[in-house]
Amino acid sequence: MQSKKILIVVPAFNEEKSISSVVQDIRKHLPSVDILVVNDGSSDRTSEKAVAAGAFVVDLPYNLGIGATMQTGYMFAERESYDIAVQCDGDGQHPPYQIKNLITPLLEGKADIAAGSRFLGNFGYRSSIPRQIGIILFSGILTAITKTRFTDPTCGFRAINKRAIKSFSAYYPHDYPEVEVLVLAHKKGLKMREVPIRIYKRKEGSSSIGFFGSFYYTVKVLLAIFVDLFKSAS
Amino acid sequence: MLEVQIITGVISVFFLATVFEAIRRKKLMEKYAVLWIFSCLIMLVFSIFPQLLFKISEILGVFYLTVLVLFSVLFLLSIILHFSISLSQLSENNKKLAQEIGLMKLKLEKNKDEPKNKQNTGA
Repeated sequence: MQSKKILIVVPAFNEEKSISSVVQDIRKHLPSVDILVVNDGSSDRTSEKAVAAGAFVVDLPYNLGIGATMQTGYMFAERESYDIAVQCDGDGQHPPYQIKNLITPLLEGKADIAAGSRFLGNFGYRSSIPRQIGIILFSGILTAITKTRFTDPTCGFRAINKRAIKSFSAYYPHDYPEVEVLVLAHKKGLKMREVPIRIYKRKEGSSSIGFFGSFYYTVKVLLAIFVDLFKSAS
Repeated sequence: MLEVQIITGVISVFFLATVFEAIRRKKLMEKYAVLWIFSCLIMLVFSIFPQLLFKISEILGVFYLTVLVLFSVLFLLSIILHFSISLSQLSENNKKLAQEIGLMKLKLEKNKDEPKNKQNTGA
């Protein structure tokens, strides 16, 4: 475990209230990893707090969205030749003590991408009904396309290895990337597996997706998946 | 009547195909693509069921579409589609630039710290 270079990528947009504790929490559970906070053009003191907490910080000059933010993290991981990159959100939803479970399949060489699932295992996570319908819909589509069982493809808590880092830093979808990126990864021949994880309820801030947002989310992701099936693998 | 349906049908299928190919080549962001595909589908529906258009004509009291207006609309549509594609490419370039600036600033910051430490240990 010590021999692998691991980077935790923390995307953050106006998370000044939670970012310090997220970084400190990661440090506490995984003392040997590097932490990169990608500040997506926050207007508050997210950047200063993250630097003070001892993380590397990339400040994007303006808000680019979660897709470009994560891609920036993967670009850093590729250039600094990390073996594993983990996405852990800056709002404190993704509990750092579970990162070890996430990276285990990668260390054992069983997968290129380990995706956290709130529904595998009996943690009793409940989501709102429209969101559950969306999750079931996308899980079905993804399972059919990838022939791998997916139960929670909208969850962003993921760990990826070097092969996947290379692929993601070259191309990553713009907005609402979680589902689409799995289809693209499948087309690239990357092996994926879900890992049961427990998720905290959001402490600060609200979901980035409202009512019209979820309608647009569904249409956009379905369209993107449909088009991706016709894209060339390269 | 049938000729009109065929012509407008072909035009909307042409737009739909162009939009689809542009997304496939990653030249058009999905953000714009959703709107475009939606408009193309509406055009297609109207060309298959022109009765719907007549209903709208009755409500609005507008009945005649001159060839001039038709061509202007088609011309404008093509230009707007072209703009959507250019906008997609511009924002892609813009994104890359922002990412590189962010990564570069971090690198600068790291380099700035390191020589300082060396000076301190030297003195």
